[in-house]
Amino acid sequence: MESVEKPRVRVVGEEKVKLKKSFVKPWMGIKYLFKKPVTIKIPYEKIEPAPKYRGFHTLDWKKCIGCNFCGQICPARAIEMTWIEVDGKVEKRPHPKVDYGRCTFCQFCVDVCPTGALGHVENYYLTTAGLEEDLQLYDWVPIDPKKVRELNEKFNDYRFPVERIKFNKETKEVTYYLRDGTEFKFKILGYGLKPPAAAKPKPAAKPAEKPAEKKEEPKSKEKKE
Amino acid sequence: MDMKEKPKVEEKVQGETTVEEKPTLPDTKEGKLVKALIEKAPYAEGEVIRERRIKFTVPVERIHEFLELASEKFEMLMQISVVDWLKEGQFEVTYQLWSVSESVHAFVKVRIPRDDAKLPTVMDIWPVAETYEREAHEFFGIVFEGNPRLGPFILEPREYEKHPLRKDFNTLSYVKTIYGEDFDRYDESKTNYVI
Ligand code: SF4
Ligand code: SF4
Repeated sequence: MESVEKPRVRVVGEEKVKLKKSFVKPWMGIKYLFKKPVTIKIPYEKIEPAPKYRGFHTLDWKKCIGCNFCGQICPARAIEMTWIEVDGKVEKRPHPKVDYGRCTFCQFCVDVCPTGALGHVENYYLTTAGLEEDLQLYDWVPIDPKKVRELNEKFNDYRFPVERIKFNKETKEVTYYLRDGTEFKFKILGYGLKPPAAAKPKPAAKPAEKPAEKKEEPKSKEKKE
Repeated sequence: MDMKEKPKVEEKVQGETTVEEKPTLPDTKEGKLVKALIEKAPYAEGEVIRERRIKFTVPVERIHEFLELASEKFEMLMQISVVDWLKEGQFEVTYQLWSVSESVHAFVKVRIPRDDAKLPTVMDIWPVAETYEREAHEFFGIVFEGNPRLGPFILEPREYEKHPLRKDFNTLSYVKTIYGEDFDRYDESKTNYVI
């Protein structure tokens, strides 16, 4: 065992790091009494988040191909594919719905998205009360990046771009009340990768009748899985 | 395992063949460390993984003896980690040793049967092993004979004796029994794995 050579380690002498105790030195801290305190007065001053600060998601609905790569990579399983109907037209592919109750803001989903549909903005403020309808805000299908940027330019306070989300359990109708007062409406037909029964007869889109039958089927399917 | 180990021991006793037989040991400090230890404990297999990483595989019945030998050079026990090999029905317990004087990390691996998981405690060599053994006991159900404090440690009482890190513990179904079938706030369910 003696044949093993010792690694050479540089050791700093103890006399260099050991300080002498002093009665006076603690009082030197008093000098900060007369300096400008290092604080940011948050309601009056602002901090700019770093560019590409990992905040809320944006989704380009035109680009998303519903591949569920984002749902597979999500470490918190915060992403659920959602079948959507906008203006009476069923989207061909499911879109991811992000649940901010689970999301860890790692943005793995943004990196993995093959089409670049999923992105993120620097917005990070989201506070609600504990009521059930307020909490709905934490569960959304991200909206178009352009809209979010536009809102950012208008308000520039890095808050969640949606003020209130109304989810009608009967008709499965979702309304986003955006911060500039506009509303954004669509319908959620079902969840998961398989298209819900309601979304199947796509070519013969009859938006008027669908909502009524829709609500039961996807729900029951969900439970089975 | 013993069957395979035994002939090797004899072989080594017979002559000096083993030293030449393993020219794989490089002429570095790791290689020398392994060689020195193997000479003292011929029942163990040793290899150099890479710089500063060496590995030993030891049969169960001589693990305590081996670790005692190893503790001359490896002053620190860093961790006892366990891998559950469900198909082979074995736990692979790895003692991770650190040599402060040589800066070498050694893995001492020992395989024990899953249904009768018993090991001698190494508290007498490294007192810190008490905590590591309690952890391995709680999460995998390995009994370290001689450790007086194998009892409830980290987990809640209702989880104790369930050994949640074993591969046959189904986390999702356990969570469902605790929090109900659907523990998601929103109307869909994110409880299945990759949807
Ligand atoms: S950022 Fe959120 S939704 Fe995206 S992968 Fe990470 S945890 Fe999942
Ligand atoms: S957001 Fe991107 S990764 Fe997710 S389903 Fe759409 S295309 Fe695929």
